[in-house]
Amino acid sequence: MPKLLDIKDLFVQYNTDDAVVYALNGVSLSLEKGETLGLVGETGAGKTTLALSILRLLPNDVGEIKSGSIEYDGKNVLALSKKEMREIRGEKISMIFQDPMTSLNPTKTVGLQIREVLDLHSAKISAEEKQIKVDNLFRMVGIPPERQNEYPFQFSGGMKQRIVIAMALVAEPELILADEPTTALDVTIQAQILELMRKLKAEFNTAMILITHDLGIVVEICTKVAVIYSGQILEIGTIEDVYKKENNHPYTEGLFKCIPNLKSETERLTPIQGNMANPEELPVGCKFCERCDYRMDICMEKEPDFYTDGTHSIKCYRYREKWGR
Amino acid sequence: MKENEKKGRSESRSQLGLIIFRFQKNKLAILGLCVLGILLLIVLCAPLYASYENAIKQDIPNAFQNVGSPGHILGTDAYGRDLFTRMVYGGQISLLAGISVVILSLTAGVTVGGIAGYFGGWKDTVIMRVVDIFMAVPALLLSLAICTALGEGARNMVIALMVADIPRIARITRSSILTLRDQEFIEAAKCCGTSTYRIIVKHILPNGIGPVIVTATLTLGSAILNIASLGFLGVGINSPTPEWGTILSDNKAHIRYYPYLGLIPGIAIAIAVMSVNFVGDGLRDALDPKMKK
Amino acid sequence: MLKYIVRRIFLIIPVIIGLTLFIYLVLSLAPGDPVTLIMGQDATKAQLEVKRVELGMDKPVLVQYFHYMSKILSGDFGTSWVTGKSVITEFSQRAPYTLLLAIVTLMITVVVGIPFGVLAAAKQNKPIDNTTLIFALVFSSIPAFWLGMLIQILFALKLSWFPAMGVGTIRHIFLPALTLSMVNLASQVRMTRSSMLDVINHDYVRTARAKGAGEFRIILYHVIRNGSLPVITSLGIAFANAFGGAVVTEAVFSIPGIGSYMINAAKTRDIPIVMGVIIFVAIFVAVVNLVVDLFYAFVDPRVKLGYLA
Repeated sequence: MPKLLDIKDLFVQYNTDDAVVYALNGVSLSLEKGETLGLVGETGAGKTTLALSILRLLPNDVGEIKSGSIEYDGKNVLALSKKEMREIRGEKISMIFQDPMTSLNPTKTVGLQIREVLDLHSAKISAEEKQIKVDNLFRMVGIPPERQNEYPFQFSGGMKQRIVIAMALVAEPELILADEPTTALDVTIQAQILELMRKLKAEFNTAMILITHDLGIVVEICTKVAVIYSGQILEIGTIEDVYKKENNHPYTEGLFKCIPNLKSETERLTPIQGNMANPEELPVGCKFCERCDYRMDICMEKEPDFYTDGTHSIKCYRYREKWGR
Repeated sequence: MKENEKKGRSESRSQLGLIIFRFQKNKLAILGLCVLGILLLIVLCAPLYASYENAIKQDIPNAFQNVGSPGHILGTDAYGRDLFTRMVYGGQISLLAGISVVILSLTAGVTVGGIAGYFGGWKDTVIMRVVDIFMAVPALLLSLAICTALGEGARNMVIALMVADIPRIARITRSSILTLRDQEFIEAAKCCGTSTYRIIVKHILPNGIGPVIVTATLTLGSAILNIASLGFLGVGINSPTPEWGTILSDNKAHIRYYPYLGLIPGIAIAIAVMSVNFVGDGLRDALDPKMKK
Repeated sequence: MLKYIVRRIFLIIPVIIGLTLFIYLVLSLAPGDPVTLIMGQDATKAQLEVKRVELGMDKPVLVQYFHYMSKILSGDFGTSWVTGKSVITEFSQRAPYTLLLAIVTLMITVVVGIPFGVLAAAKQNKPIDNTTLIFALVFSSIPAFWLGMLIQILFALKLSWFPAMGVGTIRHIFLPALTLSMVNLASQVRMTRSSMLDVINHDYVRTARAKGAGEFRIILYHVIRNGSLPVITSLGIAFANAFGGAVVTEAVFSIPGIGSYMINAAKTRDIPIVMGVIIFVAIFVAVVNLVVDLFYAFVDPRVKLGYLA
């Protein structure tokens, strides 16, 4: 059975007036039905670009998928016609965007906006059935269905995000791309939203790519995790593989060290020294080696391959002997 | 990476330098600036190569000479006057009066809008009420009304147009300042003990001047058009005074048979205003590259 | 809601007082003597004095002003200093022509301008967008009266498709309306385009695409509704400004409307006419603005709830 989503060697760039920005530089990852993958990285690592590329929603004149392949359910996404792409969006793959404040149309009621997904994809269903589905979804995300005739500005941030989530789920998609769904919300609401997503995932058995910069969230609902940096996946594996902290990419190590520990009594935090490489002028070898404590000569000359141990893959020369290809 | 080398990245520049850099990338804006410069040069140097006499002295037997006739590069008009001389002296009024309108209304408008925006309170309310009053009627009508009250003359025309432009400029200045005044970097400056004067000059002015400058260029464009219109209507300036608008109205009846009489002044006006618009657009894009056209 | 409307109507009063007072003040400060202009250079001093008393100009300006304003309250807008004809009578005879011109212009602007603006935004940077922008640029740099003259010469005198001047039939209004609209169109198309572009680049349009909506549906349901607010405002402003634009157009096409009324008054320094026109236009503009604001509430739910609160 083909994987649900299979991305191979994806290169994506933005052609702006001033310069070319190399956003994704050889990303490969895959997802099975029902799996939840956490995609972790800093700002600018390429997480949103990846999600937008899957749905081919990159800004028209600027974003370009230079090379690589994206296969969904065996079909080549990059070769689909516009019409076929529209059929996938919202129904097979849906996206939850980062900022609920601006993701909703201010002049339409929330009910209509959720219903629009059904109008676009399930035209054959009768109006009553559509209404039932919309009502159901409101209940599921914890908003009274009576409020569906209100406008987005009448809801709080947390509730707007739930509406956006409802919109992503109403057509019962197979894959959800959730782009930092909780970043714009405060911690208590965050917990609620995560709980909601966990429940819905179980109910619909939807696959999900959860994009975040927060390692803590990933643990809550994901089964796999991938670390992305400078447009490349540096490490990918199951939650146990990565969070065991026995074998990690130096970057992931650094990330874990950044998290303050309630129990320890350190006085200073340990950040990762330096900054992410300029995406307009990427270095030739490993993209992380400038900031890496374990830097070796070969790191600066040539990019490392992925070295794999079962379900765990790391893109670092330190594991070349240990694990091999 | 090679692609980026080709694009020629700019090293760090001062803010003014950045603006100039972005401006000169815009070919149309540079073209507009050059054309405007050339026009101004021609017009200002008029006394050096053309005598004003030729612009108003009538010479009927010589009427309707075509473009390129001996002694008359652009031909003559219905009264035998040399068109080129008339155009050049006319340009003095059309362009220079336009520029005076802009300079005067800018000075007054920015001051008024600045006081309203920065100090707020009753000063703001009073000023804005007055601005509302003056914006209650279309600008041309207001100018006509003021011309009626003032009487004939180019100077009165400039005053009338200026009064019509001041409210709009005041409003834009005020809203520009309002946006800035409450921003955090102003608060930060105040916390450091910066004097009001210094805040205005060093922080608000450089940041707020953008929209005002853009408005100024647009105002120049519309001032030139308005002056030509008033000249055409015979309000404020009249025959025999040469002005691109009066030239057109003088020859109105004859344009059908002598098209150059109608085309030359009209095209001159259009070129002048278009150049101003190009420069204005270029300035706007240079000052805020995020704004889409 | 009603309270809001009433309040807005009352606000017109200080505006009218402000404008009229200003004009009278300018008149009092200006050099030159309107009476000499009216009677001509050859009039004797005695004749001038008689006229002056007749027009009430022997009294101080502020007194004249109060007289004028009190007569307004009883509906008497005075008589022309030059012809002696009643201002309000002549105004009401002329107003319909200008109004007709403004309405036809508005119609042309809406029917042609808005679709082109939306189209240019939807196909940004493609040929149709660039052509539209060039057209807009050229036509906003051309003086309206020149355009009018050219149109008049081409379509009326040379081709004889339309009458060259005057009023009477629909055909008479077409060329003037065309002239006025071309100038309006330039800015209207640009404004529509930029307003729609703002919306197209907004996040919620991206959300709609992610839901699987096609471009056409996006334009129709999402972009137009949200982008129409600034467009409506500018249409309102354009309509109100028609009185300004009409001035020049009426001169070129010899239409006996408010515009030409104003021009004659300006040339002869006939203050009562000017005052009357200013007052009426101010009221008209205020009403149009009010209608636009109310329309806003209709389109944008946030505004509607704001008014009801």
